[in-house]
Amino acid sequence: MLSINMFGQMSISYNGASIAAKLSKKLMALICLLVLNAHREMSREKITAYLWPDSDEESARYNLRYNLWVLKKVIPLDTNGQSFVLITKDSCRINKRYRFQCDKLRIDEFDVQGKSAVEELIQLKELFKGEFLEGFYLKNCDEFNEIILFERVVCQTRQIEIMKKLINLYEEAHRYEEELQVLHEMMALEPYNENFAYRILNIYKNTGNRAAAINYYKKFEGKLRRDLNIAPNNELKLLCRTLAEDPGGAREEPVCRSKTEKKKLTIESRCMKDVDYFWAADVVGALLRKADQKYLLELDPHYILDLSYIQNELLLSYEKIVSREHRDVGEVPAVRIVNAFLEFLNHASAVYQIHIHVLNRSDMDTPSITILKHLKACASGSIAISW
Amino acid sequence: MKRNLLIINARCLSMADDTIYHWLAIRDQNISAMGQGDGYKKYLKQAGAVIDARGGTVLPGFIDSHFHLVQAALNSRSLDLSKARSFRDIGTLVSAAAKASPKKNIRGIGLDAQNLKEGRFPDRTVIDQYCKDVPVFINSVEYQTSVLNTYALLYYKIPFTLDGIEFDENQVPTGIITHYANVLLRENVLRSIPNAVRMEAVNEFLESVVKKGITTVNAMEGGRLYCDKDAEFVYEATDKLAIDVTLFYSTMDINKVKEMQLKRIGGCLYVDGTFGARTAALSFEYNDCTGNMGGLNFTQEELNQFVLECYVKKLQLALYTIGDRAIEQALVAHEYALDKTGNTGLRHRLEHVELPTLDQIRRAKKLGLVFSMSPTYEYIWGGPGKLYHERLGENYKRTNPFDQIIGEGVVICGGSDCDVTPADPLLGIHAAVNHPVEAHRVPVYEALKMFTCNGAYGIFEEDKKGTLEVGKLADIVILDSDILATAKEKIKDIKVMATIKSGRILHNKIT
Repeated sequence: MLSINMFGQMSISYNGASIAAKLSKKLMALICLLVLNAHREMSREKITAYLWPDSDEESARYNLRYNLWVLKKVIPLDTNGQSFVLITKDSCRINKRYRFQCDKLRIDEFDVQGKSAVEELIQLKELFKGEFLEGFYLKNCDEFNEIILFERVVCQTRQIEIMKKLINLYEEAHRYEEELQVLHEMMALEPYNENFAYRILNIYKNTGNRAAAINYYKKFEGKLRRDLNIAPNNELKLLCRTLAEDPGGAREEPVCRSKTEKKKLTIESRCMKDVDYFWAADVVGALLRKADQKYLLELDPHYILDLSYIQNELLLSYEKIVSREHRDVGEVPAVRIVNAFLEFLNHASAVYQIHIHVLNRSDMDTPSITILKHLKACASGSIAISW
Repeated sequence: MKRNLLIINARCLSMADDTIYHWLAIRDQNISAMGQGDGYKKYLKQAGAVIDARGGTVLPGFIDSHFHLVQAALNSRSLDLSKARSFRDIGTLVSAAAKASPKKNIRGIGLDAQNLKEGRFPDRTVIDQYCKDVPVFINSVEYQTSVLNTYALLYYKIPFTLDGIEFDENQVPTGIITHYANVLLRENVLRSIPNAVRMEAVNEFLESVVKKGITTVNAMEGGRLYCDKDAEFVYEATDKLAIDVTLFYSTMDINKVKEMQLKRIGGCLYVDGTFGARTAALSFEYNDCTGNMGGLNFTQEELNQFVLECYVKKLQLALYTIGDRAIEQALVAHEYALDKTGNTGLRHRLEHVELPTLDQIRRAKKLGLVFSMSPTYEYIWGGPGKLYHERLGENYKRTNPFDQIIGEGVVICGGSDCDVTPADPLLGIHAAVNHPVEAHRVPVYEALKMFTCNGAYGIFEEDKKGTLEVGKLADIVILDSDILATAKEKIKDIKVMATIKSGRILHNKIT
């Protein structure tokens, strides 16, 4: 059977024997065009425009005629006596009845949205042996070269889509080792993808391989810093800190199905009627005790300093962990305290699903009542308040 | 082959003290004697060669403290597009390069879209009009953008799914590549250059470097927009090069640097960006971009932890800082690390450190930091009507306050940041002496120290180089005139007549 491989260097074989040596570069390009238009006829005029743009009409038509003749000669009939190409006076196309296999057509025919089995996805993934038409370039055939470019973009995108489907199936089946292997392949293609890195860390974490997770994070962090001069996103940082600070707990966490799934955090807060901002200060203190302090202190220092006016514990933690430089907070206007409190909560809720339970709500101080009202009206879905 | 040398009729500035010597004798690779008057005569018989300096200044070989050796060398072999003012100019240069070296890939550098009358980068179809036969790969002046012709887009492995690929209306890549895709593409392309090519390019480039009197460079290699393979190459090749090359590996991988047994880390670890790109972190808004104060690349906590680890591991650290906010962040990190460890004496460096406040200079002095600065920046971009004025408004008067820094007792070592500015210490000295802001100008002698003894201090090599003293390495530069007697506006016109490295004459124009 005829086999056409277009990923990596283009190769054509019949019953396992290569026939590429019998084909000129233009003829390979002609086959490529026919494959990319496998489901429709291509006019001779269009083909000559792609492959012989600089030739006059007569020479171009002759060149095409000659190449089609060679093609018919070189590619044998299939076992049913069908010819590979159907040629008419004005057009030509691949014969739908001709039995052959082609990696590119298999990829094109795959329905990314539909259901698929692991085995099928593995086979498809293996088809990507290199770039689409690697090393192929036809001088002065601008439109043809553009087709290759366009298809390279399509194929790279398709490759990632197929791999994503595969890792999701592996995850559902708890086949973490295989998932991990594919994720590493995906990272080779997209080395700065934080979603992939997060999944890798999570797998290490959930399979009890804490050391590998921390090492992987460090390597990834180093790469981001070296290549892009950025730090990993907060979700990755938090995950890594969880690993570093909780050696025994690695196995206890359930598998995180999605990077957007946030850790739940419930805090209790108390009220004191005659002390302004007492409730707000208590919420900040409770969060500092229960959430990742280092993460919380990544908030803009201006907000931290403003908020520390009502919660000294915040300033002490800041000086302990971030900067020992002496900062004189001074008196902070109410509007800045409120603003800093809301920013603090927003920052925390970026990585936590926060549930604040208010004890003795009837004793809440006046500024805190106003803040609470505002929170209830504007808080994101990541903050729930009960009493 | 090394011979005993004798330099006579000279004005040797030892840079160790104020003494001026008239002659200097070299045996093997070291300075064996120095003196005044005709005391040299007893060395005449042993001397394999006598060099008559004709009254010119003789100095310790220049030390360039901030130098991108491999990229500068590779760029020197690339097509310079910095003077292109239109797509047509680019095309003409590319066509000429293709004609001069047929079948050879073309790498263009220095393209600045702001200089082009079209006001944007050309796409692949424009480059294709001038060259379709070989891959053309063009880098923008700050390496943030790459422009490729169609052949190059098909030739190199392009990560099309990454951020930074520009597409036309038909969803075909235009050939203009930025962001993540550009970083990965550059890494792929630079990694594909064989080390043999690097060696050839570096050796060729060093020929021009020694002609400027340079005998030691601090090579800032690897890291973002450069290539780690460059750092690995320098690490392996150091002993095979004509001059001394001290590697600063721009990485945050402390373990790797320790494994390589390097004594230092960093160089281009970017705490902030540049004035040109308006990314240097300022405490005020850019004059020509309201609301923009530049940005920091680290959080304070991240930098604290990294600096702390360098203190703990006893690595000399060189952090890239330009704006006052970046300098502040670096100082806070150093204060934090020093407070935690008490480790002193590592001569940590701030690279460029262009906009320090007086308070910051004083804190740096307390911390024992060395400032590695590039005076030529002022010559090119400083002063009224130039880039710094445009970007910083009246704050341009605050940049590179050399005199104030020296007055506060902070050591400045000088570098060119080659190939951002030319590898030319005399131009750097000229720039420091003729700073566009008079208050920041320094005497010639202080400017000379930046490129000699202070350079040696910056890499812990003051025991063997940086001054002319008996027993020290014979790293020597001979100028065509007496630099201390030259009008200060003419310093940049002084020529290097001879360069001697460890007793070996590498460059000699004295007949």
